[in-house]
Amino acid sequence: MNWSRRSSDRESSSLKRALFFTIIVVAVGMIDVGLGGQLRSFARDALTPFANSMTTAWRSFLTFSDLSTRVDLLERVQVAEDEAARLKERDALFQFLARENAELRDIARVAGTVDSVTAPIASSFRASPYGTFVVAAGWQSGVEEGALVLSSEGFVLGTIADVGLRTATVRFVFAPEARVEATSDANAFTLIGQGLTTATARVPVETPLVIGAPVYIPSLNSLPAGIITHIASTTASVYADIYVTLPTSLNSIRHIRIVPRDLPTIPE
Amino acid sequence: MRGFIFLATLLCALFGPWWGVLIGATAVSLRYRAYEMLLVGAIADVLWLPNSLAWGMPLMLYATIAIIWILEPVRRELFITDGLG
Repeated sequence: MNWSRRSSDRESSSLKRALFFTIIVVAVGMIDVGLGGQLRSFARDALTPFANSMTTAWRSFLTFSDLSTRVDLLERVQVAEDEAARLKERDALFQFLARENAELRDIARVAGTVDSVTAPIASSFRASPYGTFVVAAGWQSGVEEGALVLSSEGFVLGTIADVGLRTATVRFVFAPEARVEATSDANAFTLIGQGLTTATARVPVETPLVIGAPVYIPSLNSLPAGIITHIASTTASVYADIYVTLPTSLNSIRHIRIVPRDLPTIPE
Repeated sequence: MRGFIFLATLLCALFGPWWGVLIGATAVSLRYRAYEMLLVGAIADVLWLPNSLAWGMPLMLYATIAIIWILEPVRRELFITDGLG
């Protein structure tokens, strides 16, 4: 009898605790929304160094443990993959440059003089369900919301969605389900993000698109965001599905460049 | 075991794939009233969701709340539990 009563008391107090905890978490979330995300910014600034030190510790462990041989091999494979991705990216970049005229080069020279911030990546690319990642530069370094985030070769990865004191959150252009207007060889279409570095679009089958052509995003200063890697069409359909991919391996990206959004527009 | 899953899920929220959090929360919620998973869901949203609601709702927090409370009757009905949680 006593045992049963004690068990029931424990169950009831456990239920109360869980309810209390749920209410607290939801209330804190609502207060954060009310404050315009201030609590989140503070928490993110506090958590990012912890995440960074954990990553560093894990890498050190791998280097000095028995796993180091395997790690060496994996690193070599990684280097080869990075090199392949870099060559692919350079090829796309070459096409991009070849299409520009003297006017574009003048504008690009102006753009080159605009202050940019180079920042290290401070988080995993794949841990976020929202297609975001964190960089270790915030408004202290002059980063502003809406700024463009570029790879080292000038492909646009995303935009700054949120700025903290020392960190900023970047949202991929091709975040899951994100829609963005794009152009390639003067053909416009709507890309739908498939997560991180891939997007798809449906275009009329007679649209003259070619594999390997760069894809530009007019709303992001007409910067290239990827290349067409695959075009799928069937004889029965009047539409073709195109696949656009960022020609850079995410694993090879250690730093990104952040530039203001109000750069001179680059015509395609 | 519960502490281990909590730690593993927390590491998943920080470094691993996002669905690891949902798997961890589901696994532990089948046995315990795992309200600590709300913390993991909240941390995932704090880290990854931009501040403005224009970017979307805090799905990880909603998902963990749903997992914990939806699995509550299942846990009570199907699994031997000592009421700890």
